[in-house]
Amino acid sequence: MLLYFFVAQLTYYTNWYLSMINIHELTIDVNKGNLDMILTKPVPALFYLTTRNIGGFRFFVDAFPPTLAIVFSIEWSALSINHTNLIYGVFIFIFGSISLHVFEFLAALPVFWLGESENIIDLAGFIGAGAGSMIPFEGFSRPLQIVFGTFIPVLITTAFTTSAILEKTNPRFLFLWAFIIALFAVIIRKIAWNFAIRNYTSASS
Amino acid sequence: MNDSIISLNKLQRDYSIKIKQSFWKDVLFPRYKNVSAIKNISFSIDRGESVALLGPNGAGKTTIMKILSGLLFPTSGKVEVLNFFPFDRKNEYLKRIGLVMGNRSGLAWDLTPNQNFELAKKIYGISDHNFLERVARLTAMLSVEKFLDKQVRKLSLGERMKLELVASLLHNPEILYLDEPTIGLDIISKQRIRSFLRDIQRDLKITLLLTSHDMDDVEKVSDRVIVINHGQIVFDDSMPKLLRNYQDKKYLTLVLTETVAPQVIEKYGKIVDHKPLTYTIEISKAKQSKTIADIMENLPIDDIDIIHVPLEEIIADMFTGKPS
Repeated sequence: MLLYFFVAQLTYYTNWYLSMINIHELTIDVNKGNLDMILTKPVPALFYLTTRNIGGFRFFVDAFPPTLAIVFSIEWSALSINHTNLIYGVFIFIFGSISLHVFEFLAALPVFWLGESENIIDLAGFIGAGAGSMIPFEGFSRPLQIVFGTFIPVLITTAFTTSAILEKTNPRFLFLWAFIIALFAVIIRKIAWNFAIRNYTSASS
Repeated sequence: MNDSIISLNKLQRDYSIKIKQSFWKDVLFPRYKNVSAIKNISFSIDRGESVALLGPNGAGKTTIMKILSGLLFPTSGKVEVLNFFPFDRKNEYLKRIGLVMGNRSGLAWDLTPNQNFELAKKIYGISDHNFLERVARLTAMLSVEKFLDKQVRKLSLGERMKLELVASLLHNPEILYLDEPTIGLDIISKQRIRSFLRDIQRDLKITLLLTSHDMDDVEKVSDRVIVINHGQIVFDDSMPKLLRNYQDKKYLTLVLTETVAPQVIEKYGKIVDHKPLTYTIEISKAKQSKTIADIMENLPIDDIDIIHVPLEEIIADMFTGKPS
């Protein structure tokens, strides 16, 4: 269970410092019209907007103490972790972070129509990095595993990863599942962005 | 030979506006209405032209600017700039245009102008030689060399706008879009920016498309004026032609030595402005000599000044539909 908490902590901090900060900034830029000055530069706008602010230092300052406490609390010798499963786990975590980011990114896009999406982003963040990291994968029924592992992909980062590392469910199966969802998520992100930007009305006058 | 690089054909852009209703109607049956920011706008601009888009607030000039710079997707019609559809925002297109917005900063506030320029150098792939030469030349033209290592957030508005212009020209764009570039600036900064724009248009053969509410900007920078009102073009011709239509009118500013009733002044022309001991009246150019002679003979005159009808008045007449 402590390993699960450890991965959940990583999910929370990774998600906040790599995804949520940039998504919040995106909504501010759309509202204030700053997006104009980015879109008219020959840069990959979507990539720039979703990766421009990576709080590396803050990530370590904030994440290190609580995570370290959990690391020291885990009785590692009691866990049977092999290298292959660990590598699967790392990749699943990365794929899960991508899927979770896209889920939150989609929650941000109403800002292009409504001029506001802060609350829905916070809700998505809560479901993703909070509620999605509370119950292990095996605790969900099969239909809920499919729903929260596919359509609302909030289980992948923490639940899939822990399950794969501990081999509670076939790691290769979870890896493939996470990979396919991440791939679709990236495609959906691009399509949704193109659709949203077509409806951009530009706030500046 | 005409070399059209910007072409708009029956361009239209609509916005969907939500109609305010009662709370439950709003939630369950939201209703929207379409409002056209621009309606069937058609014009073309040749390479090297300097064109001003004029219009009152909400006329649609910024919408046109944003469609041309690739920010807005047009609802209908055709638009082509440098043989590109701007909204595709292809890098090849974006590298050939520049955009300066008076109410937006294109410079990163935490960096110095030099650091911003270095960033632009990387983004636009400018060679070392061209970069150094352009920074030196453009900053010298605007006398902003001494601000290059000062953080952008610490610059005054005038200094920042000049450096915005430098940044927008580093990659040597063929078209420069200027959306109210002198808004909020003092008269000295405005004059410097106007003459700079004229110089770069002449020397670098850059096509300028300008929107401004400051008619001095328009007079000093543009050869051609497109006036837009309610999303439609109401005038599209050269600046001299616009002024020629109003050449039969003159304004006389009369400075008096003692108070005279407005009714007396009105006998010589329509009063357009009135301050203590000073009237500005509108007269016919054909009767200018006779009117001035009459005024000198009958009124306690200290000074007389003859001025052209300001461009603001001409444009205002167009917006209100008054005849010239």
